[in-house]
Amino acid sequence: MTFVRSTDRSVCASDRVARRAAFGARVWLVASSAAVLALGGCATVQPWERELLAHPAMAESTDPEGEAFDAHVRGAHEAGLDPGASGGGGCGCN
Amino acid sequence: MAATDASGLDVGLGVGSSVGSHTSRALSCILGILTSFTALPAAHAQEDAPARASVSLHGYVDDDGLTVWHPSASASAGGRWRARATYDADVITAATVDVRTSASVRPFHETRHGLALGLAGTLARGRVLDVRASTSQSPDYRSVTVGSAFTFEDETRRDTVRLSIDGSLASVGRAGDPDPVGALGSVGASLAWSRVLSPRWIADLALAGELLRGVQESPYRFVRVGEGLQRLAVAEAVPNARHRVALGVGVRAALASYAFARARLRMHADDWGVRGYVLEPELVFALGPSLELSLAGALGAQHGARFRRGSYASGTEVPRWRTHDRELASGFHGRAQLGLRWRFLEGEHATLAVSARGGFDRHRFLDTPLLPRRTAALFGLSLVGEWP
Repeated sequence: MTFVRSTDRSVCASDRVARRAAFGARVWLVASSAAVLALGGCATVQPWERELLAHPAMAESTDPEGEAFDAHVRGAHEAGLDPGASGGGGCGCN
Repeated sequence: MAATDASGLDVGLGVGSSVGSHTSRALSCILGILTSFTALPAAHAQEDAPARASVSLHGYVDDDGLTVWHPSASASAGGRWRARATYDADVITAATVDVRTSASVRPFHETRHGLALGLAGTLARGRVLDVRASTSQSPDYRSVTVGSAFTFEDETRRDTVRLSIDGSLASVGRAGDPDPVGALGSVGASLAWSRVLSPRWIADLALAGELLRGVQESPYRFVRVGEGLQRLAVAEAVPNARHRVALGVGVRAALASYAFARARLRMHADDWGVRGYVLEPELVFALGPSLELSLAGALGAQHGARFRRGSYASGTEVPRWRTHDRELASGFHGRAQLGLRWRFLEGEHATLAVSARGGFDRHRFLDTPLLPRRTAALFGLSLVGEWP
């Protein structure tokens, strides 16, 4: 009985690991697909339509000094690599 | 730049609170060669950019007993070729955690100095080449980083793509010990792509990878192995090689003429078994023509390194890889932040703005019985001037 229970546990544990891995893979897949779909569509925005895009709040960085410090803290407190925020530009203010 | 900055704080955290991420010590060491664009016609975008200077002071205080003051100053100017320079420092004080984690019985004080220089040249319309070099110096960590980036914006200004390559070489040691423990080298590359989707929406996609080789242990951190009378405190040991990748997707949206939003999802993984997801939303409200209020947050979860244990008590053999680094543990974290930016002088010849921000950062670590959580306060003040 004990043996059966421990086997069940190990099966459950491996199931959980497999489910977590599958969940992680799905998150990556959904995020990548959404990004590719978003980046793949849409028409050119004319210069006279960029008023809102040119607002400072739409810039790549709204507070470069503060965001540099945030990145500084993230670099020390998160084990992951920071992929960066954007390619820059887009707002018409570069 | 961020990597250089991170190194100093990390050293402080590593010593003071035994939470220093080795990964953030990774600074970059190969100069990317991204030329062959010089024959293209001249551009104007960068030439129109104003000269800029800033001074700032930021602070970090947590309930592990760590305090970091981070002053910085930077300036950039030029036309087709723009030069920039940044100096920053970390004044670090740590006390209680040294005792609680037995890393040291002494209160710890240290100052790191960082200097970064860069040159960005407009090779053609929408094509900018950037080269940079930086150094970071503290009593137990010295590094040199060089890097390069090429940014391309298409003629319709719909797409902006940036390719970056960085490399670094660092010497890792102990404060007060003239002999270094070892060296750490890294090389990283990233690709970032932004697209204007509509008059109100911008999408961002970023990919990054990094290879690290060398000493990634904290020379101050020890791991307790075994039980009872056979319990030993042995030096931390982690693999010399590490390969990391990360993906970031985000959007920026103008919800109204006075309300803006952005959100970013970051995902990272490495061959040590670390996987993480962080969602970062932000709202910005224009309270007037020159005043903006921002509300930002972050929620994240991480699966820790496969060799990390809360306790290495079972058996008498010392495991080959062992660490008590909390940054390599599974856990959750959240952050909330409030910011205010005021352009108090907007003239033909100069613009002056002041930014203030403050917030809290909360970490919940799993399998770290001694220090299961950390709460930190972050705050800062910046003054920025621009001259057309």
